[in-house]
Amino acid sequence: MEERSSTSSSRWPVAALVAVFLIVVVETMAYRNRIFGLDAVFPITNRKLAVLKDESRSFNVIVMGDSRYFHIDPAVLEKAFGGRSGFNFSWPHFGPEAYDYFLHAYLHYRRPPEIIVANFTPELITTPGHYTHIEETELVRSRAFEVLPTLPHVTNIIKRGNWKYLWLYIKSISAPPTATYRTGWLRILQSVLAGDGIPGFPDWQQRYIDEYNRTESFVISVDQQLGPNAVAEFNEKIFRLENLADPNALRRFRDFVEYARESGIVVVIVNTPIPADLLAYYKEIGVMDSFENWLQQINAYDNVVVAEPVIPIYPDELLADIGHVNAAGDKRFEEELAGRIAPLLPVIEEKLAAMRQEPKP
Amino acid sequence: MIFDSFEFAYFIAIVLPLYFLLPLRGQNGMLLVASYFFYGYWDWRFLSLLLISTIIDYSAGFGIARSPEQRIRKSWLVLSIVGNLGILGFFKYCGFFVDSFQDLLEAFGIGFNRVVLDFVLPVGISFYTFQTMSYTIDVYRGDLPAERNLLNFALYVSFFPQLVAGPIERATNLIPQIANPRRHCLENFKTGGWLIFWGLYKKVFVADNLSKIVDPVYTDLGGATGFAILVATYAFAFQIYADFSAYTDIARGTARIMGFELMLNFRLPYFAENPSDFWKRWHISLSQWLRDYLYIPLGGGRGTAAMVQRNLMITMLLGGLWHGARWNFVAWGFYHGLLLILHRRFARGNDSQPAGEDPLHRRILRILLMFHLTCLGWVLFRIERLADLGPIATGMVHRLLPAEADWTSARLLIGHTALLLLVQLLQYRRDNLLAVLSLPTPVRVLLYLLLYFSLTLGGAFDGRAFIYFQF
Repeated sequence: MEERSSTSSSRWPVAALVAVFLIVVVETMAYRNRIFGLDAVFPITNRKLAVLKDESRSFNVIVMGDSRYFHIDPAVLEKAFGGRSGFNFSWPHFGPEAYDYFLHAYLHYRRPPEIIVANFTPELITTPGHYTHIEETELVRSRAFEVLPTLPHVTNIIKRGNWKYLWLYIKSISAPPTATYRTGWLRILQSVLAGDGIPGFPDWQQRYIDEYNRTESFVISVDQQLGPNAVAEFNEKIFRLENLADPNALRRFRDFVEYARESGIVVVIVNTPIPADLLAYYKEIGVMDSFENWLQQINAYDNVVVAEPVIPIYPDELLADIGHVNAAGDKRFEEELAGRIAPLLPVIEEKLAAMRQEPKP
Repeated sequence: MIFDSFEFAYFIAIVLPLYFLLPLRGQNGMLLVASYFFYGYWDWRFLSLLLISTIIDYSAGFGIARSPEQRIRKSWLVLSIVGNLGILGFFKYCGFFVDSFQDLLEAFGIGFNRVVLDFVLPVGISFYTFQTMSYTIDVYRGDLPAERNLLNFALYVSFFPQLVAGPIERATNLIPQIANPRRHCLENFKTGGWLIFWGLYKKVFVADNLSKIVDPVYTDLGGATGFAILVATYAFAFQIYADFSAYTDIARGTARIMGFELMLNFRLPYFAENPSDFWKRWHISLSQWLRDYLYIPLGGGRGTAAMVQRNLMITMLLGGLWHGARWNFVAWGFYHGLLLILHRRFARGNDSQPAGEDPLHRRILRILLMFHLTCLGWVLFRIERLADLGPIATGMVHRLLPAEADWTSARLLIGHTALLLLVQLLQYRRDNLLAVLSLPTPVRVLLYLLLYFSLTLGGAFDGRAFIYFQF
């Protein structure tokens, strides 16, 4: 058994070159149409990026946070914040480590808003980093690479000197699109091979897209209601919350607040509701005492305002799970928002005026 | 750094252009630095072992060449062997022998506090210690002049493509290639590129996907049906072949692009027709090493039948132990030793007839028989401890019929090995390991596309290390 190549040494590797050309063509197509290879989160985040880059619009109040904020309608924001135009700039599954990156991306395209609505809850600080942090969790990281505009993201990574993260980014963009988005492509391939043509998004995902296109917000689970033992199950299976702050999360949130301050932005903490069981659990493990301390650290910044109640409690029938409202919960949240913000408006105006008078560095 | 990683892709993207830009001395110097970086990327602390192994054998070779006195020459040889085997023994076998000795004392009812020795096993230690030892032995035998250039010798020991999982190169093959300018041609790029591509396919699509069939069964043998064990064993046969031969292919392909010709390590081993044929096709560099430096010095095929059988068994037992410090590897070596002895005893006469003259159906039957004998050996190789044979036997006897999920595993096994088998059949029929490159252009384009998209759409990109790294 030998190795004999029958192609003569003077001939170009024609087959390989043709194959490489075809691969490049297919990969380019796969990249350009990658949205079909993903879930509904991405058409929506793409739409958000389009809104972000739309120069014909201007925003004075933006929402920054995770999926718990998806439901906040910009029109409701506008009403609550005294006619300021709103933009829901929330992203899925990101912990506080990402806020800084997202604000950086926002400011790359637009002038600073006056107000950022953000959440600061116990689980945001105590959730283990490997579950939500942009720099540690592959799922979160891959989403960040997909949704954050390349230039501001890479600039910020370099500014932070986070070389490991930069390397992960380089690896991510080096992967062929057919590999990166293969789940979606395989779904499409299977459907086409089965003679069903190119499949659309499942109905429930299509509803997100339609609702977002209509209101620039959407409720994740319309009818679902929180079941008994949900808190215990959720905590056991996913979060494993402890009475321990992730120092990285706290530090990054402070970085974000400071960055907002440098940019003349007031951060309004408007937490979304949780069930009574979860609050009871927080109290049981002592996390609420720590939370008071963490909140004080954040509230010490002169560009931070905290809306009351700090942690709203909703009955189970208004919640889809421990972190997300259902349609009825969304309705109540929207009804209450103006009432929660109204007493803060004079303070916000005062802080904005004070920051405007400060000499710019 | 593993071959199917982005790290390696970027590493090679830097090394290759530098290599072609530099003159010979610069090339060798750069390759040495690159090789140390390649190894140190895994754990820089173990670079010292590479360095120690290099210094010991360079000095030993030099000492042997300079000294006319047999006693001194022998002392240098002993130093090399003790040094290399000492490093290997300390990191790889110390814990095993201490554990086994303690087990023995316990078996005799002698009470004591157990000592647990748990060393990190440096990647590829068995490969490079064997490689460097062969150099000193060759110099001692007068088969090879001692290498005077330390840079060349250090590169021979650490040459990154084959450093951690072979082929175990002979100094007679590699050092002259290091010392002399390499010939560069388009052919090297074509065949080297194919070897890398084919290797990646075998590793990422075949081996790493098959591991998902094998690992769950072999980690829970008590709960597996006999059918599942059977499927997992077939899957392991292809997994280990695809994994190990993939490493060799990528190593040889990378080296070939730079103008180096590394030795063949696999010649379609599952087309072997008997045990002796198998060892001429499987991990050739190790079996030749064992033949030249152990079997033949023991007496080889000379002497009485009992002496030859003893030589075979010792060689195979140590060959098994080379793979790892566990009794199942010793049992695997024993099993193959037994196959070789039986083959030598009962089937020797048939070997005189050229294989090509046999009717096809007889050859196919022999290939199938040998494949199944090999699979039986893989059971010993794959289990964690010999006690695992109990649940396997129970499963095969009492729970043979498949569960629903076992059919999925069987389908996955077929799906992930079909193209590999087709290509191998082509290689076998044409008696040419590069037979793919002589297919018509449109067929090759289709094949390349099929391989590429199988990789991107179906490859297992979970950074699983090559199996033979642990040896």
